[in-house]
Amino acid sequence: MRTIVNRFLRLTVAFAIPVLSLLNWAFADEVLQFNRDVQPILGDRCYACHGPDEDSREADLRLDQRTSALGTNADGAAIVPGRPSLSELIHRINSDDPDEIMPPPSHNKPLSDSDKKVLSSWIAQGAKYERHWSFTPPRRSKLPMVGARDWPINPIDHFVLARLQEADFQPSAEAGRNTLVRRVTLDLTGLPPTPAEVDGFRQDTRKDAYERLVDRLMATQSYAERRAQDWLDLARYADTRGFADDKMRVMWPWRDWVIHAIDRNLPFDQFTVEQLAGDMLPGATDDQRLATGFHRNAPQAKGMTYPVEEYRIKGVIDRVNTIGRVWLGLTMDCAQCHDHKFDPITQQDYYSMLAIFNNIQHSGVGFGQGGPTMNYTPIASPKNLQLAEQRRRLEEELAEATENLPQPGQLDGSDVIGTWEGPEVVADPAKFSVVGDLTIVAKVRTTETVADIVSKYDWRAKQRSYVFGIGGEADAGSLPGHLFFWVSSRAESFSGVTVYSSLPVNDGREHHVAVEFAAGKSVRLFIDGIEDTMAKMTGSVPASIAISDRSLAVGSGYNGDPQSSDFKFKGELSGVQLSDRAVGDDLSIGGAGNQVAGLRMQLEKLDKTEAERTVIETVPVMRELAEPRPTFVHVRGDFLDRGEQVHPAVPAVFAVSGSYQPRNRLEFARWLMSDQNPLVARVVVNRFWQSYFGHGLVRTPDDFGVQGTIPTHPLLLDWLASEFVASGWDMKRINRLIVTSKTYRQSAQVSAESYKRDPTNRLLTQMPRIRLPAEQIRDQALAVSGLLTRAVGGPPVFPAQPADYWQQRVLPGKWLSSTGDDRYRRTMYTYWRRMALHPSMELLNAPARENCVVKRDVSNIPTQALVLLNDPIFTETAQAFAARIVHEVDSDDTKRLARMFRLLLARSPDQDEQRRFLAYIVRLGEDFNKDSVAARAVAGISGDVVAKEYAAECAAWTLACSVLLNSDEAITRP
Amino acid sequence: MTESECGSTSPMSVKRRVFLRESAMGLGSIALTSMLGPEGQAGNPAKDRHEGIIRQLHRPARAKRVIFLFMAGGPSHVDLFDPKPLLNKMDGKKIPPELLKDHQQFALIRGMPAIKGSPYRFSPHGESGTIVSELMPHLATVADELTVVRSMKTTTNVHDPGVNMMNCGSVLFGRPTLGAWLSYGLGSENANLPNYIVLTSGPLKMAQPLLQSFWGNGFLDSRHQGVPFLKGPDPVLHLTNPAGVTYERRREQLDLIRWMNERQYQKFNDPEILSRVASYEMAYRMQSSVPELTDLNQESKQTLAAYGADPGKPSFANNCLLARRLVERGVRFVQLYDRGWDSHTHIEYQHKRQCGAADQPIAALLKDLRQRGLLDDTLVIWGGEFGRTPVAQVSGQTYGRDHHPHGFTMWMAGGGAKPGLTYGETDEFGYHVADNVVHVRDLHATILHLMGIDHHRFKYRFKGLDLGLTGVEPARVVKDLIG
Repeated sequence: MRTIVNRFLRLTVAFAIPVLSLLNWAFADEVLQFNRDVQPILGDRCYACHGPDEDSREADLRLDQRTSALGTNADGAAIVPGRPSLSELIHRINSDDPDEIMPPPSHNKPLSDSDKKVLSSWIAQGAKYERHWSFTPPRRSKLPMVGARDWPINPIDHFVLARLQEADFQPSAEAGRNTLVRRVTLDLTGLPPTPAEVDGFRQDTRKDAYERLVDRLMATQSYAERRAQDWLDLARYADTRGFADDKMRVMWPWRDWVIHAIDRNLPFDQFTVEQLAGDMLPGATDDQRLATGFHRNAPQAKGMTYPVEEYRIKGVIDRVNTIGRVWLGLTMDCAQCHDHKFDPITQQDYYSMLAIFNNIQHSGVGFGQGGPTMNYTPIASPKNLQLAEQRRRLEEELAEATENLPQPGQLDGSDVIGTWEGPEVVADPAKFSVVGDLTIVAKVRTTETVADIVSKYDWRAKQRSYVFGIGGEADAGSLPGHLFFWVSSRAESFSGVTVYSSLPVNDGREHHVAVEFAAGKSVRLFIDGIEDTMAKMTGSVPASIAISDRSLAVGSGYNGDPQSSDFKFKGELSGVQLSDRAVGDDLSIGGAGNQVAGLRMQLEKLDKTEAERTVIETVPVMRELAEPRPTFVHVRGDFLDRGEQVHPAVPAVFAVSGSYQPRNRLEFARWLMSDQNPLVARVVVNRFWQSYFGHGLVRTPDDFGVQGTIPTHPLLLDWLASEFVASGWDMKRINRLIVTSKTYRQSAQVSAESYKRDPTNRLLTQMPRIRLPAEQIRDQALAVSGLLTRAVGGPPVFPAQPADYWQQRVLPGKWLSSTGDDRYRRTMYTYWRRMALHPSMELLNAPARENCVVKRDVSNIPTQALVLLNDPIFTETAQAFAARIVHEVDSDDTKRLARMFRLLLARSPDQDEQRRFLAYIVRLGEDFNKDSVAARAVAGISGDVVAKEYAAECAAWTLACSVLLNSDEAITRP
Repeated sequence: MTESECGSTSPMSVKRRVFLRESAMGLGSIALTSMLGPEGQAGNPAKDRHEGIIRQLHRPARAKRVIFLFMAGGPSHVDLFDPKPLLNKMDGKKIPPELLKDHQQFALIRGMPAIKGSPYRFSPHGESGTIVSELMPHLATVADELTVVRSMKTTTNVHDPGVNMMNCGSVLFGRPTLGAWLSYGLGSENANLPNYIVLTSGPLKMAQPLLQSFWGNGFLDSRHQGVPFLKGPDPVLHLTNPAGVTYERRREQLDLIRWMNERQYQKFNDPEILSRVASYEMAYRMQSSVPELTDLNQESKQTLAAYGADPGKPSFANNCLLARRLVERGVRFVQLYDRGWDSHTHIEYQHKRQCGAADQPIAALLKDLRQRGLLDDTLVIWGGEFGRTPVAQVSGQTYGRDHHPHGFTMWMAGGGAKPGLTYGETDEFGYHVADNVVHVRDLHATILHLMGIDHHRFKYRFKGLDLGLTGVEPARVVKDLIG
């Protein structure tokens, strides 16, 4: 018996609080399950010294492995199956001797009597081990039989109800329609329902009205934005690099990729593979390469003071830890310095996985952003798609409008002073020396870029007068193929105007072209009887035309030579007419032409907008080195202390013998999504669940390991996981299943009975109320006040923050508040500065995203109240909300109040509320009538053009709106 | 994350919740003790302060509050507290290479730099004979109050990881800072003010930035986050009501909000709603308590003169005076960041400027605390994220000193630290610690000890690990520093 006594050594281990098992499943007379009943005890109390970590293992004993725990020596083993009394473990946990008792008193983790009983019964029952539950593949079980057959709507409800009935609980009644529509709209889109949407749902008597509502919401881009917001937390998305330097880098195209991917319901396996290794896919598209920005979101140090290699390694470590949390639900971090103390992840495993992500270029040149980038033209952005649609429409209209256009008009014969049917040079230089108004008409068909039509102009010989043609004689600023007209009032130096048409005419088709010169007034170009209103004009229209000594040349021009041997018109030239009057109007085809001109103008504007939108951005992405970097274990996590070399591999616990070993990012990503991986589907559906219920079915969403909590509904978790895989990783399908379940539709009201017996609502007896995330608190205020700008994606925006906020921190840069629509964009587009997040967002628990955030903190602190009551970004919404109510509803306070409640809370006020609020508003109205200055200030009305009664009214409603926006009901998902 | 940290918003009776908290669920999410009964005694200041997680101190506390004077950028120990005649003797000579063998590089200096002696005179002061350089003549007058530690050591020579190390015990971002730990462990004593307040001063240009994480709560509840006071009319963000909203109008608004929220509570029984009521009430009280607190005109002329404070002009002196007013009101942790100590060049000019602004107010603060009987249970800590190199960065008149983590000086005063003690020493170059090394981790263990906390037992379960201010690496309480 004493043989292994010395193997149990006392150790000083950090004090910790035991995880309380609230499940109460373990009864001594029941068959105990290792995962459910035993491992939580062993894991928390014993594994620190008798677990997977080899370095801290005491007495060479592992209790996480049966072979070690049973030992080889039958009478000295820690565990003798079936014989608790012979098991050293039982002896030790019941000992009174401070030198013998386990866990040692210094460990501060004593076992309770019931824990001891469980261990003893388990050994008596044969000490059966199980693989840790989350390391075995999910099993899809049959739907459990339930008593109340009419309650369940979908499979989720069977599992939930079965569990409730097992514990002798009743589910809650369904929430009212107003609550339901507000709940599901906020959850799915992050925005409140409009009163019309509320009414629409209330009045929809169809059996599937709710499902229709859900389908409508899930088809919106707002749905994609709201889901993307959760992913941005996981991906540690920010607009800056982090560390002291913390400058902007262009990550937002990646953020837009996420929104777009969710919007088109990209299956989660592709969603994963493209983000982890899109660049390595055969024939990778730009979009797939962009997706790999996922792992470039990590903070990146820049500058001389950072040891480059140390910070490069930090970045790679961040990749591994993030994958651990996001996909595997494991805290891999520990294994950075030593074998994991609780989970079977060794330090070797850790660095083998790190080797997979260690082959990215870094700090190629100087100390730049470090790492590969791609030039990205955001074509696929929804905004650009919208522009493309607009272009298609305009082009169609233009094509229609140009079909069957009338023939251009003709000059009155009496106005024409010369007519030619082809190239010709007039012998007498004095002829056609027009000095005032002038009109030239011709029919042309050519593909040449330069061709004169009519010229009395030779600038090289300082013989300037007038010239009309195509391509501006190949002059420096000319537009090849476009009509041009030059005219000068001085021959020796230029003094006049140059005009180029906005459209080319050298398309090989016949065009009727003309120029009209009204001396001192205007120059107009006509193409096929349509005035070119967008012609480019430089200089000023001269009052007269200089006389040159060059003869009038038709179909050619002058280039410093008295012979007009240059700029010859190649193609067809006919119907050339010259008039000494400004008679362009005769040529116009009128209304039809104006329509075409208008459409052309719109297209031109679109070109400019697109040119702005399609700016090429340099976006950080992943790119594999040709030659993989050698990777080593870093002893105690010290990047300088290299241990043994490792090769790419997944942690050994997941390795299936005979199967292949992922060697690079692409193979790793595919392994993650293969059926060999037991964790990913569970981890992901668990987070979906968390976003609607506040908690996952596993309440430690990033720890599915031994120290994590076990699922409250294990069968449901596995069913959802297998359904997720079976559906082809259809994210919308799982989200839809959850929000259409009866479980989700329950009321949030709580019975005394249920909170007595299940205070943290593990059994899902009702829906929890959840405080809205920071972004949604502001988005909701913007939406109800009518200020919200509904544009999707694009560069980050800058809603107002205290002007000197960054300066006070001595952070480089200056916050220039956005103006116009950008001031009111959804809050997820706010410039996300890691080292100084927008202070109001920070106070409302938005994370700075220095690293992967799996679940946000939710606090309830006084500085939040100051933000919601006093921050201009919120007072402005109260003012706009009030103005909206005052304008939309005629001066009936009762109706206005109803409007206010319905816009924000999706319900009408009850009688008490009506009484209190109306009295409040009446009193405030009187108060502000006596204090116009205050009234204007509160209502945000500048100047004194409005009546004081109106200002008082707006001010009263502004304060009332602010009250409602600050109410718990408003900032809570019901 | 454990069960207890999930911050459930599920309803349960207050009693039940508090009971659960006090029993096994304890750690993780403590309720505001402002949790009010259903009768709705909202806004009772006595109840609004939150209690710490440590209900029974591990040992008698010597200090109840901390003022941490953080000289951001790193003050030069060899110019202020740690005279090294050898440096003057060898001035201009190359540094002996064996000094460099254990570390990879300087922060910014490349190659082998030259030794640089200190131009300042050092002399013993007070009965203790504590040595202070002539740059800090006022501090010299309170030399007997100081516990000077000349053998500090930290793990990095980079600013922000260095500040993290000093604040959090880890170079990583995302860990709770010392102030957050103390707020979490010990709770607050003033219902009208935040428990952890940060005051900043120093030049607005050419200094290291102050990052949000410097007063972060890490994985602790965000109630424990430091509140940085801003310069200008609103020391706390959005403290002032919008134009036209008088206190009366605000009070009426709050009454209506509270009425709405209490009805909501009656309907759903969710205690978070009562916490919200309480937080709105505290915000309201802060609107009067903070301006009152920051109104330095309430101080006598003599006091203002002693500190060198000018109520109209933000300064380190004002912050020192404000720090006294804060600890007087029971604020648990006050951290003053004084920027401008990062003297890579022009160190003579810059350190004179910094000492000129800091020396008198620090001495005045210690005297003031002493006079008011506050110094006995207020621990004052002075130091930066590291020291500065005994070698010059840039030669000639404009020389400066680089970051130096291997041996530097900090001091403590009051709060149970042993007065008049000079502890530990660096080698004759002022480069490495030669004796009685005090790693930042040891300092943390010692600070917690003085606050009545056993650092081994002060942990928070996060992601399956028990994390604390001190962790895996060994840390010891330096008993010699305790008086």
